[in-house]
Amino acid sequence: MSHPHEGVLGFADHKGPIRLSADVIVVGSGPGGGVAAMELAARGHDVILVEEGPAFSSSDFDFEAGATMRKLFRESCTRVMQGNGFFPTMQAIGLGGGSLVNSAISIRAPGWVLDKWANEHDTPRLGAGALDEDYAAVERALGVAPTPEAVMGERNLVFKRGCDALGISCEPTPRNVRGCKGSAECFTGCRNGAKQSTDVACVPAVISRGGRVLTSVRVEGVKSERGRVTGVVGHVVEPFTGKRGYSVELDAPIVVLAAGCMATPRLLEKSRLGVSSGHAGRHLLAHPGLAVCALFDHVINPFEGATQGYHSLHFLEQGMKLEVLWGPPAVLSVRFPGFGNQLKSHLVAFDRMAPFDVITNAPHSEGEVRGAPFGDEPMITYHLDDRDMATLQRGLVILCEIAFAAGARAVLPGVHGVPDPIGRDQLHLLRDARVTAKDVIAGANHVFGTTRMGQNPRTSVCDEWGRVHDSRGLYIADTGTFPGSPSVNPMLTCMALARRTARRISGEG
Amino acid sequence: MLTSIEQRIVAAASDAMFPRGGAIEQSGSDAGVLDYFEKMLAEMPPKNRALVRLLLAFIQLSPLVFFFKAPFTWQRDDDRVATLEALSVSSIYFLRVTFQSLRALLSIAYLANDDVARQVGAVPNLSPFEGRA
Repeated sequence: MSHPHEGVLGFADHKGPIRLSADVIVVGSGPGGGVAAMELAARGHDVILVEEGPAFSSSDFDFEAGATMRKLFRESCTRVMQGNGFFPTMQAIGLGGGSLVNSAISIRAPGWVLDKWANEHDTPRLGAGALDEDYAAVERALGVAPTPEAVMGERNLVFKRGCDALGISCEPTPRNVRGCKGSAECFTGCRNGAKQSTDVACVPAVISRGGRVLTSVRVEGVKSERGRVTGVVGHVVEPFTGKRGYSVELDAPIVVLAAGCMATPRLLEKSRLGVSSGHAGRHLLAHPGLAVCALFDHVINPFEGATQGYHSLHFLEQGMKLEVLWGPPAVLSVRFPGFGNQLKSHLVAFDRMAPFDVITNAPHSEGEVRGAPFGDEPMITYHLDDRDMATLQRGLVILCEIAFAAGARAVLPGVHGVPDPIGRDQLHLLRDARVTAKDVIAGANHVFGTTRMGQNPRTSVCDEWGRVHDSRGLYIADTGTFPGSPSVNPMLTCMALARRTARRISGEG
Repeated sequence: MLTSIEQRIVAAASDAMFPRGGAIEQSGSDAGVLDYFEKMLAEMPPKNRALVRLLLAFIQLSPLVFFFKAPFTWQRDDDRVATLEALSVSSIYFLRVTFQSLRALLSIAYLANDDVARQVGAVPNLSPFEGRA
């Protein structure tokens, strides 16, 4: 079997200035870009897929967290959103984008979410059921299926037992994997090659249809003439250092921006396209999340089992999704209290620990993405509203209840001012505490909304097919188009919308 | 990559954060935190490298500014521990974030040591369920 990246052009292949033309240029190879390029190529378009980062093979992934984080994430994984707190946010850079490093969670947004978008956010054609065909097609292409029992491991099963004991519904997480062995290394890249990230599931399909895939090329602007897109310009960039090399100019009458909701609005701003409404870069939405670490008397061995094998959508309509969590100890240990011997004693107790997390759809919180005074990286602000913080706090309490119902002897809640750890009889201390954004480390890796869709060009950047209102031939196919939170992990919805955009470009739909 | 004063700050902070003994025998120095920190810094983009340097400078000067004590590296071991403790539980959010940021970077470096990782249980196993009934 050939390597999935066979035919992908990388930094070493770029021997001089690049000048190419195609029917469609897709900028960004993550969930949106990968699917858009695959679907367009399948419909006979001559496609060029452009990715700023390099391609990573299974053998490039490193078990050691720090090395992987510096290689795979923008700003060496130190990116934060700033506002009424510091909120770490991770965006991947590499062929496959975020699909390389996420836990492969692939869930459809519930119908009531799409109806809410339709009714409250000016996307009437996207109500419940509107994406069913696209969801199904993407699920087939990526092998989405519930996590099998055989690779769950005790970390996932204790969560299920806790939920069952409390009557909280939960289910095996649907994921885009084929042949997962439960190595729990999703976050640092799947060394088993089981994860169907877009570099594995979509890129080979693009190339087999004659498409071209260029990595290590940073697109810095979209070209246009009299309101009509004509291509993109940029530079070859050295992997990991970002040093600029040869110039790149790609011509096409159609450009699909899928650079992610942090980068796409910056590209629009630099190109002076899609900015007439004044909404590009604004309305940054996120799923802030918090985690607890449940401490058990029996061995959990959390190092094995699907990274996030079980989840609960029981409280989804109340703004909460509950999940099992796993990541490298160096990342998870930020939840531990103290330092010195106290920290060491928690570190050696990892084998009896199960981390769970809650994310909220945060309907009251918002931020924006702007150009920084220097450098290429954006300046990102975010304000976590007290009401959404209260939802997270409630979620933490429920996670503790699940942990105790599963037999945990104590839980590390990771909240400033609340004892760490707490026992079952101390849960009221967490429940009754006045917790603000400054008392926790709330990460937010699901981000969207900065180029939101809608029918009204005055209040949105693109229409319901991702077509930018004020520019012909320019489309957006990343999570920036979401007009609201999908309430669940955004990848599958992003992919379904990207497929819908590709169908539209091809004259379908 | 690190200046000599920055090296002293990282070394002092890593041994205050991870002193020798306890549940894991190795100290920060034993685990090679300083060398790893150098490598980590070298691989960061310039802006983020500058922010890490600012963090180190802040750690060095925060005892002086906030607690009216000597700069971090001038302190005795016990006082450094007290400084970290004060930062970690401070009522000032920015000081707590400073502590958390330092601890995150040092933890990444500490846990990158194979012996330390093994004691934590982090041993790679690509097929943990293979052969199980």
